[in-house]
Amino acid sequence: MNKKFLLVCGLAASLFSACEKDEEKDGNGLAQDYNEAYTKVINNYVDGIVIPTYAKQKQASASLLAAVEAFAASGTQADLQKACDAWRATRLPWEESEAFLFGPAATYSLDPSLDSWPLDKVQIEKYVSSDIEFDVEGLGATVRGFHTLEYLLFENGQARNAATISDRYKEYMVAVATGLRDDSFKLWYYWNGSEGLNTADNALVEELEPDEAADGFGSRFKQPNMYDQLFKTQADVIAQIVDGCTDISGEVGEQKIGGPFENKNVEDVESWYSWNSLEDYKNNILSIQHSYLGTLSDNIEDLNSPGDERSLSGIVAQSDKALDQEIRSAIQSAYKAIDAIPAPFRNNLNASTEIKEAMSKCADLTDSFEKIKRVVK
Amino acid sequence: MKSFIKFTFITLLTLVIHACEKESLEEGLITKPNGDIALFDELSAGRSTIFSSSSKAYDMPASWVTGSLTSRFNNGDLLYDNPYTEENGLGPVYAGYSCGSCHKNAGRTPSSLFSQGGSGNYGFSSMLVYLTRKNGAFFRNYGRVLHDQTIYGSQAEGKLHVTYTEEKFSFPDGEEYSLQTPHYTITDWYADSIAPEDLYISVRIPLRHVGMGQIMALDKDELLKVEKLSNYPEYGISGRLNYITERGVRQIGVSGNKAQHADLTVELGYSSDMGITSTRYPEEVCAGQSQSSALYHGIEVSSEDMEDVDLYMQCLGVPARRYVNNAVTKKGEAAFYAAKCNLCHLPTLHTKPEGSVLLNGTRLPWLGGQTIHPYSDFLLHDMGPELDDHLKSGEAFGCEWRTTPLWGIGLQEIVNGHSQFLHDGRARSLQEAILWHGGEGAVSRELFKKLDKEDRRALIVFLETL
Repeated sequence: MNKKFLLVCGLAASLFSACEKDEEKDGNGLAQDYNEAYTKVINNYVDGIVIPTYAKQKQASASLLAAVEAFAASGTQADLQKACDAWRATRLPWEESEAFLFGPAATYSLDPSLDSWPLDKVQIEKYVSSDIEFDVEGLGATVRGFHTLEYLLFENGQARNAATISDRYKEYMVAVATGLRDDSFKLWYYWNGSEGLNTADNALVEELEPDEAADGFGSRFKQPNMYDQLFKTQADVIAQIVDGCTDISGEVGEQKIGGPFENKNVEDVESWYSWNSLEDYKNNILSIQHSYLGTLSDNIEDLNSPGDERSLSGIVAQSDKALDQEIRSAIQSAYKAIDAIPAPFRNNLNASTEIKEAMSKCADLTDSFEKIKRVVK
Repeated sequence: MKSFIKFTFITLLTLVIHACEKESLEEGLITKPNGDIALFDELSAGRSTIFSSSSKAYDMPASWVTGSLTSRFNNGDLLYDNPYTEENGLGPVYAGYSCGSCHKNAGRTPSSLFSQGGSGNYGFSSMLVYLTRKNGAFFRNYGRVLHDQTIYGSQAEGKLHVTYTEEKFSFPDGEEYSLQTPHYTITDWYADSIAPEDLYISVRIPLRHVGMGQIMALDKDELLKVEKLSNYPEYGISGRLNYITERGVRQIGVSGNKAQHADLTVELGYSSDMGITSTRYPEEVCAGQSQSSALYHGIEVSSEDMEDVDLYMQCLGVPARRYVNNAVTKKGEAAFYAAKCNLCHLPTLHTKPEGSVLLNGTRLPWLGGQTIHPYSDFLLHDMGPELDDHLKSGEAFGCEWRTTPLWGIGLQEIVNGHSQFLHDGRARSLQEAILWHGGEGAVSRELFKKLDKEDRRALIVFLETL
């Protein structure tokens, strides 16, 4: 009898315990519960991927401004070509940053400031035709940033004819390139914080007066705790890294490629003045590769092996080797499928087979990446 | 003894099963992305709950959005986010250039010029400025909203300036806090200057578009019951529903800061905020001004597209409540109840069985018959002179505000990067938002102040996990 009673109590106790398990699992999350493996991944993501990518953009955007100013002064075709090359060189790290469009890029509306699409051509032409003084701070999102500058520099995938570019155009180019340099600097600064600034950085801080409250988003990213509204646990942080990747894989497949394909509207193709569209999309996929493998290599063959212990790939592989393999293959397949679309994209919106394949591979990549949340809790 | 064992067994089993049921079975088994079964309290919006705490947490479709709904959702998402330009109807005067310009990621875009003390200088600020005469009428040629942005060649209707006075206070335990009171003025009027003595200004930061579908599907009979129950003289609380009358029909209001709308005002937003005309609002918003006619494009957005935007907003998932069993969260939840916050921020409501109906009649039955946790009673409460904006909306007086739904509120910083709360963003944290509560919220404010510091912090953590 006693045994039966104990059995009943035991059963009840185990059922209670089944319910309590969740409590134990969800009860952690304070700073002292940091998982060492996750700490390595998060620290490397901030210091090895995000900040260096923005540092590259910061540097490239300063060179772009210099190139645009040089063209504005000389008016030569050679200098215009250099400015176009500098635009592509600045565009690359930006597109390679689109797997982390959260945080300062959103907070300070730097993403719309840098990359609004479509641009407002009518307004741009009216500005240029007027005699108003261009004020970098005053330029709205649809008349500034990469695409406005692209429109001013390029035509049919190459540099415009320098001889046809008026002084007002040049003046506007300089204003837009200045805004692009400023926004790129702020992106880097808000992640990096005020540590390790060089003379040029300090001069820009003085000039731009960035919001002090946002100093060092990267630090908060690395130190989640229950009392921080932003991230309460490392699992929140890793989920954000994953969502950053799935957001851009979804956007590339459904909107950047799928949008113009479905409505056959060439003006919906992002970066079509420079014919840089497919490069943009591939660089978006490389942004996911960087985030997953934890290195800045642009070689997609690196996806043939798992990343090291500082990478998302490393912690996924530790729990589920097959999933890690699936994700690496999905990134590679998406890249290759986009690469197979005939260039320029704007002239090949009828390449249904290749375009559908690329859309499908991007969707697969999103699905595979979502599975990381099963592993990282 | 046998019967005692049987009784004990059944009782224990029933208790255990009931406890587990409450947590996981009531809404059906919903699996989280990590493979675990969702707990009852985590399911903020039943089957529309999504499990994300990231920057896109307000901007993801519910899991039932599939097939043709997905295409329409994506179209609505694009229409919501893509910037409008002069070519496709923007302006000539406007307050925002797309829904997403003010509601970034379906949330509340930080006011980019807020810290500089105003809007409408140049660039863009997401603050919306309501104007009214002191007798409640609109000013001739201005309408209800100040349009502080323009396409090139037009003149903005005015420019808002903000200054603040900061006042310091202390909790009973000695910890200090401060509140900033905003003071608004408008200069650079488009037409004749408006005398400040005849002007009321109410400034709004954008609402978070969380739970719009659930709000549209609210069971109105339940709301009427909630209104009857909202009578707690011992705490000075007595809520009431707002009603609005449009085209001769009087309806319960549920959306907006003062529950002053019965629908999601998609067409009104396009017209009034962006200057984009539709069949419902065919006139340019600045009709009457000399600059209105030159750029009139006729109907600038179709009713089909308007319905897709409506569909997009109603199909958005609602972020799950997080860390429900965390020790700090539990302490904060207890403090929330101790401070009587739950009397207005009602945790649980239900949607009507049939779900909701979109602008052109499309039905969304998936929204129906759900237990939801909005933490709002959707009633108006007098919030005291502290928050009185003098603006009458529907049947709401200036001091009356709809209880803000709290679902997803803790994700605002990751989604939008700031912690501005209340209608005009004067509260710089959730704690400040609580401390601004006056009128019917004053008792809760005082109870909050009397909590010890640890409990106050825990209450904030609880709010952040909703």
